Amino acid sequence: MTSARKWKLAYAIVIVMLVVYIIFLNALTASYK
Amino acid sequence: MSSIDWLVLVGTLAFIIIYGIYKSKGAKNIQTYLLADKQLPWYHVGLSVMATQASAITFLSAPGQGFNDGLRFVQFYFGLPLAMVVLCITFIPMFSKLNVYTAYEFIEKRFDNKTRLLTAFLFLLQRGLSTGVTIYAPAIILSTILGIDVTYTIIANGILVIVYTVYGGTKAVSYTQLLQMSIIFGGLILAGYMVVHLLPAHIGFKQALHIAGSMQKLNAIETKFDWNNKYNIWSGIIGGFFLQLSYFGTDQSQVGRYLTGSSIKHSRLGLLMNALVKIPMQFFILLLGVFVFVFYQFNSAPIYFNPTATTQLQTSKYADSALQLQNKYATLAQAKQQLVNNITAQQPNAIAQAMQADTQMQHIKKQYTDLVKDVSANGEASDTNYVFLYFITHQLPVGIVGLLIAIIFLAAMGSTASGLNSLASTFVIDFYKALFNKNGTDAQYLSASRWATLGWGIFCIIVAFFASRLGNLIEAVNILGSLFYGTILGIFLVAFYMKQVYAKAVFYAALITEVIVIFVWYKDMMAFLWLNVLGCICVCLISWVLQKIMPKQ
Repeated sequence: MTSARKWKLAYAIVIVMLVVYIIFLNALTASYK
Repeated sequence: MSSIDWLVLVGTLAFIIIYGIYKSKGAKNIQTYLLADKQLPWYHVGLSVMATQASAITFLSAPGQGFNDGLRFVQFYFGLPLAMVVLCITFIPMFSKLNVYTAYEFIEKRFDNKTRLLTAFLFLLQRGLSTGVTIYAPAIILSTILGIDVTYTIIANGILVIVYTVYGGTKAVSYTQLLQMSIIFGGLILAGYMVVHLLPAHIGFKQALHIAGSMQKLNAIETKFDWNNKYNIWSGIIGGFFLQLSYFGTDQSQVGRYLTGSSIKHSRLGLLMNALVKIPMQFFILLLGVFVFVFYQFNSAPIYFNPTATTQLQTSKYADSALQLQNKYATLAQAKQQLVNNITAQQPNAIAQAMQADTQMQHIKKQYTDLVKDVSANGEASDTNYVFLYFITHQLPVGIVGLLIAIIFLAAMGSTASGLNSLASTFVIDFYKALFNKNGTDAQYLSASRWATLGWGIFCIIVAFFASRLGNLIEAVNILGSLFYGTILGIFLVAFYMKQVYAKAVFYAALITEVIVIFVWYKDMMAFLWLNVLGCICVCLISWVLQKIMPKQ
């Protein structure tokens, strides 16, 4: 894998993790209403 | 505090400072002093970036915010990971390619000297005042809790930071921040364990979450868009993105941290570490506050968590009214304890009844707070910053109290050190070197940097004293920051993305924008946080229009 591709993958992981955090927090909000 | 707590507090602070001085071993040249020889690994960069952003107020205010307002403040950080990605793609490679000491050198290379000076001046103005407040804000709270005069906590905090920052420069700042963040993480985990451990025997982790959720404290996500709601997912992602991009991309106190990375790779990885860790960290700190809230559902809490303000009120002309409110509050609190127990026993209507009691208590607290505001010398009208400290000093065992107070000092020192270091580097590189001594020796620049750090340190301590007299300066400095941040970010965005715009256009656009932003603020046309977005958009648009009507350079 080239360096540029590795960086693109790293950025994608960061954005996916942001989505995961939001989904987790949304689930927490909904579960304990 | 007990003598053991004082020993832990003094020992921890002394250890950190000696460690920072030892690791930096006195910088011998300007590259070492301002950029730590560009030798730091990614985790070092990442922790340093986090320590710079996390001031003492973060660790005092955020649990208090969780206590009063639940988890919704976490949404404020949703724009941060996106801003980190943009910085990694655009800002870091550009700063690295041009081999700059400060972010504003890039502005001269892209535009001209006067645009660079204007941008650097706006930064010095804003950062100089806010670093003063960074010293003042925890000092006033610690003086209240420790029972010593605020003058001493300001001087102690200021001098401790000046000593190692003047001596070791960026290297000392980064090494102390590495250790500070490790102790801060450890202390927070310990505090989290303690608060769960102190809950009644029949309340486990899940029951505590159930109670907090029933009392509307686990409202982490708000998807409805509302201009008047400060914290929802949209303001967090869009507004937060602009704010974090401006802060991390154009504020030298942050740029100076990731320029110390040993390569572009390490600087980028440091920022990506921040992108991944920041949201869970803030979530955890807020959750700590939520658990403190649950703890006080089963234990008596004061109506107002700031003991000095309470004493002032009790000796004022409002003493009788205050006592009546206190008694009403205590009676309701006792009744609510039973209702909260009913929630755990899953009795019908228990949640509604507990919420009703809570609303009544909040109403009484508001009346009490209004009285506090009337008699308070500095007009302080919230006890949010005192909730966690009150819990620490009244509930935690000897030794841990000292450690957690040390953490608050450490957080203050970390962000103050970065502030002083960035003020000195901007002053020396962008003003002293650029205007007065272009061909000076390395020794001259190093000496100037040390004197500049000392000078800015004294300036910030003076601002801290001034702040203690004016009281409400914290908000004033935030407004001041918003008056300039948008313009600075606009200049950088034009530099990066609008290649057809040249120096003259952006310089006049920045001046016109400042007039517009100050006019909009003066006329109170929008909440001050939106001034950041307004300033940024105005610089981009006006510079583009001016470039169209101006002859090309």
